[in-house]
Amino acid sequence: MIQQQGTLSVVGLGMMLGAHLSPRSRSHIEQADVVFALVSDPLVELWVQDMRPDMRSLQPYYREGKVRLDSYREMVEAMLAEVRAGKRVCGIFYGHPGVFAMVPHKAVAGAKAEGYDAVMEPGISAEDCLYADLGIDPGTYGCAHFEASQFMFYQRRIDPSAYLILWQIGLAGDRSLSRFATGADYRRLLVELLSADYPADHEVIAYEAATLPITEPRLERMPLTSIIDADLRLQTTLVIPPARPMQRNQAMLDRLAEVDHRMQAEAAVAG
Amino acid sequence: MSNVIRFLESMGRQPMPSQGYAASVAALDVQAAQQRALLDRDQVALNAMLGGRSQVFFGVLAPVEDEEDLEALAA
Repeated sequence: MIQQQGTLSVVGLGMMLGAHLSPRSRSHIEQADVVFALVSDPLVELWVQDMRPDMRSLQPYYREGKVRLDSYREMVEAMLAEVRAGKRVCGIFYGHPGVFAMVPHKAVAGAKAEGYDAVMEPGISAEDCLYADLGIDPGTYGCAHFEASQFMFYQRRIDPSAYLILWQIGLAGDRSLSRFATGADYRRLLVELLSADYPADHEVIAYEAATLPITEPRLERMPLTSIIDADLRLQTTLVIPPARPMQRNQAMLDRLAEVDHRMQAEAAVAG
Repeated sequence: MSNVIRFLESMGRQPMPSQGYAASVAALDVQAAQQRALLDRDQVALNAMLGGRSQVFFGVLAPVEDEEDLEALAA
């Protein structure tokens, strides 16, 4: 008997129960031998469990006080162990498995590095829901996304004429990577950092996508300084709208005009 | 699949006009308390009644790539 070659698919469940799962992702879930899942809402987990009663939740890998990098490594290893055993493995992740998600990327890369077939099926991410719920088009003024702690740990260039979106704001400033939440003292430093580019009363938005079709997304507007004491959880994303108009790059516009003139002159000679 | 989860899945697939919501919930074959929680759109109560986890953590992104980066931050 020839042993089946293991495979890995990581699929996105989308954000809302029942609403966002693609046919391809559902097919991977139904056809897999082993299914792992990490979702953002306990009722969504029950839904997944109804689809696959043998689903293995990745929740037990988290523990407050445990460095998340260890949890992530163990999650990846749990999935890859089944792939090595010749199983068709499906990892289900909320939202899009490749957006602000280290575990699915590492699992796919790890499986491929060991010679196994591995695919990622996109899903509807919190970012996608954010654009729809807030009526924001990231193309209008540009839009920069950062993980909130990373934004604090490293020197980044902010463009206050574009949207700035900070993810995992509820964990902002956690250098231990082992807490489930940080608080006002950490966010006070974040406000201080942002104050170099934004006025204290600049309106920002605490956003949370709806995870059930019977609930509404959270779109709470507040002045920048209010985020210090606001209820900001793991699922909260901080949206900072532009604080100033886009500045013309006159030097580049002049150079583009020179190119246009030269092209026109060359066309006239050729014609 | 529990009738509540099936109902939510169905609503997820096909949006329901708000004026028809109460009648749809009333027609469900579920416990009275579950019906009340659905009418109240009470996510926490529904979860407790259906036996979902009381707490979930779901961050799958770290601000650093590996332990070396993490140690460098502490230095």
